Amino acid sequence: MNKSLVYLVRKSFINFFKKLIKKPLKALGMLLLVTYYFFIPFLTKGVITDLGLNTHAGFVLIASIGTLYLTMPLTLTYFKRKGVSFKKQDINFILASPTSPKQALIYALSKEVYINLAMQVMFLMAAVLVFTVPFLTSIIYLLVNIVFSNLLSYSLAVIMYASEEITLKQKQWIKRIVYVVLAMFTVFLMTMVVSQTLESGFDFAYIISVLSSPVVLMIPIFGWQLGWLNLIMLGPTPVRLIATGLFFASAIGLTFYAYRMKVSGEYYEDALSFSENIALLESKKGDISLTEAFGHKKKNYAYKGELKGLKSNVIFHKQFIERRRSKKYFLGWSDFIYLIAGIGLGLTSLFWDGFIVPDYFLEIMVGLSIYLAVFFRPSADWKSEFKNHYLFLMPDSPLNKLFNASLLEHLLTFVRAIFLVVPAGLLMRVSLLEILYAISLNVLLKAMMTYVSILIEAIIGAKIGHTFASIISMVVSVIIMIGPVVALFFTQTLSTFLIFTAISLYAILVLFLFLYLSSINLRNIESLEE
Amino acid sequence: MLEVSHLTKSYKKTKAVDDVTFSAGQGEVVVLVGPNGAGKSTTIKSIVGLLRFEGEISIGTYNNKALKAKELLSYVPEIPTLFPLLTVREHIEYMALAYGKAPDEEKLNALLKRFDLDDKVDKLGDELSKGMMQKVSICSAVIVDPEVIILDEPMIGLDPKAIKEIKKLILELKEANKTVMISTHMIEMIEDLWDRVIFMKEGKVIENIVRTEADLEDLEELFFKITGDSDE
Repeated sequence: MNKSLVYLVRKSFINFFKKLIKKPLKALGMLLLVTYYFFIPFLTKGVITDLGLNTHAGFVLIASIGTLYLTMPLTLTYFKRKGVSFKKQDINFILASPTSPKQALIYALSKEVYINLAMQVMFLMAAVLVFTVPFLTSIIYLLVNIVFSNLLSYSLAVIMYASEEITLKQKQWIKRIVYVVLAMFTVFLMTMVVSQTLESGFDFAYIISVLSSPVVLMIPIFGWQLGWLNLIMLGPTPVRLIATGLFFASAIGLTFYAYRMKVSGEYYEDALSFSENIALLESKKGDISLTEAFGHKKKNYAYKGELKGLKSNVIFHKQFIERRRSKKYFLGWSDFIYLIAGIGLGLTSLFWDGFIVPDYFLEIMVGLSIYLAVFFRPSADWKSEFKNHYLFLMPDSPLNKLFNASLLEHLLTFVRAIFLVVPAGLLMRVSLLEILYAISLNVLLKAMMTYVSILIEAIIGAKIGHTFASIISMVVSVIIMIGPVVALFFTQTLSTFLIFTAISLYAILVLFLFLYLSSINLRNIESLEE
Repeated sequence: MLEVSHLTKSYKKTKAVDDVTFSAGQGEVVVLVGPNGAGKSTTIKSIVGLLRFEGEISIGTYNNKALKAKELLSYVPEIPTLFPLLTVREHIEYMALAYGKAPDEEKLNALLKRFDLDDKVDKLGDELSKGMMQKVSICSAVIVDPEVIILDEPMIGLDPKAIKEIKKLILELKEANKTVMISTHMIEMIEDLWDRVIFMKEGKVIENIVRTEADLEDLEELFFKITGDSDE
């Protein structure tokens, strides 16, 4: 490897830790994240054992799914000449300098090496501690896999990106063929599993047998990789031996081809375009989707509108106009899905006797609302307000600014609550009062969660890192929701009105607490900068 | 030293650069000027070897994509972007290593002092302002002692002292017989620097003027006269 690239990797590695020492909270967050990551095998041990998958065959199933659905999508991006992460600094300092184009590509690919290694270590732990695979077998499997699968995937990336012997048109064709093969494989897998399930019920053993079948193991590259996994975990068969042989041969052959091929840097234009797209994505920080950054234009609708409201109230009207211009009918699919869910629930209770009991209407509606508020958080409009300096320049109190920045979100929650609760309530023939209770609780609980998110994810997240903050936010949300969940259990024994009042008061209290805490922390732009 | 011959670059059906030909000799300061969308940046990125194109570009006796050609050329991009985890000093040292040279500490320290970076040597790339980043980019391009240096809008974001220094530096490079190519909108800034000015419009070279052969006219006036754009 080129001296300068070794210098770059070494210095960046050292400086990463030096920088982390200067930010102890962020360091602690990262440490907790890493610990959590390595605990995943232990966390899933119970479920895996209950499903009877804590065997060698179970490991084959999990590792096959991991290979097919985690490794494969990444490799497929190489076929589209998009998977290698080039940034603007790579273009200016590496591609523009006399660095070999192949080494520049390997450097860019190596950015993922830490994640890849961490994943392999987690797999090793899982194999030994969860799937009871002997340590020696596990370590041999993983070491061989690390060497050969990386050789295979890196050489494929180098060839698809940098080969100037294979024309762009030919690369397009290779990409299409790979997609067709994989589509055929998916159809085959689905057909087999669905037909077997309909015939004799769902069985993991059947999925394992399909994934280990010759049809799968003979799929070029991806199937061959599974050959080695099957061979070492389940023992030799002629097909597994052939697939493994082809896996090793293709890894060595493609590496040799990639090493020998001549490269002058024709791919630099793709790398440059990728780096510009990434820079656009980073500069817009959430205001632009991945597909938009990569060239797909967002559709806007003509809407003139008129800005109303004084001081921070203008934020609400601005958001309203923006939504009219981005959504044709003001509401989008993510809103109408609540209507479909509401009608679905109502119809189920009508036609599926005993599955949904109308007596538990409030519990079902509020429970659903709690679940959605904690685990589903679509991008909210308030997030983009925090990136604007005018939010801090506006002569209004932080409390008003926060309220107005999240007002549209509350109104949308109200609409979604009506969509969900009204059809379900009417079809279940519950009282109007219960429908009103359910709508009110939906709105209050969601509003409460909005301010929890603002404080923890946006404000505290700026200090401790956003990934760590979103995990904390999730934990805090679960803790906060314990109260309402416990209260719901008493709906049948105590009066509905009492439970409604108790949850409402609790939600209002927590809502104002987090709104207040957020407002006192939102003094200037620095409160939101890392 | 730098030869661009029949350079054409298309994006889908749009020709960003259309049959551009020019050359720059040793010790010559060439300025590429033109309105937005004239094709200046595309021309520069093609010379640096970042784009696929039709035509021929050579640096010295080498095709511009050859590593030997790249060893002769250094580049200051329009928008400076640094490695977030390398310090100011490390960026410049990195660049020297990339060109196969041991970092010349004396030269490096002199450059840092010249561009007021000597008190920021240990700052990381993502801790610097845009102007500071630009200065680091300039120092990194100069440390490798290139035969050809290409500066894309080098004065944007710089403070007056740094602009003065970069003008001085360009003249020193010219004295040292290096080829300097500058792309800029800030015509008044390069008034006393240029030897050759290439006017581009709509992807084409519309005028290639050598200072010694031209009646010394105000460059800004010349720009509006040639491009047909009025400043009124």
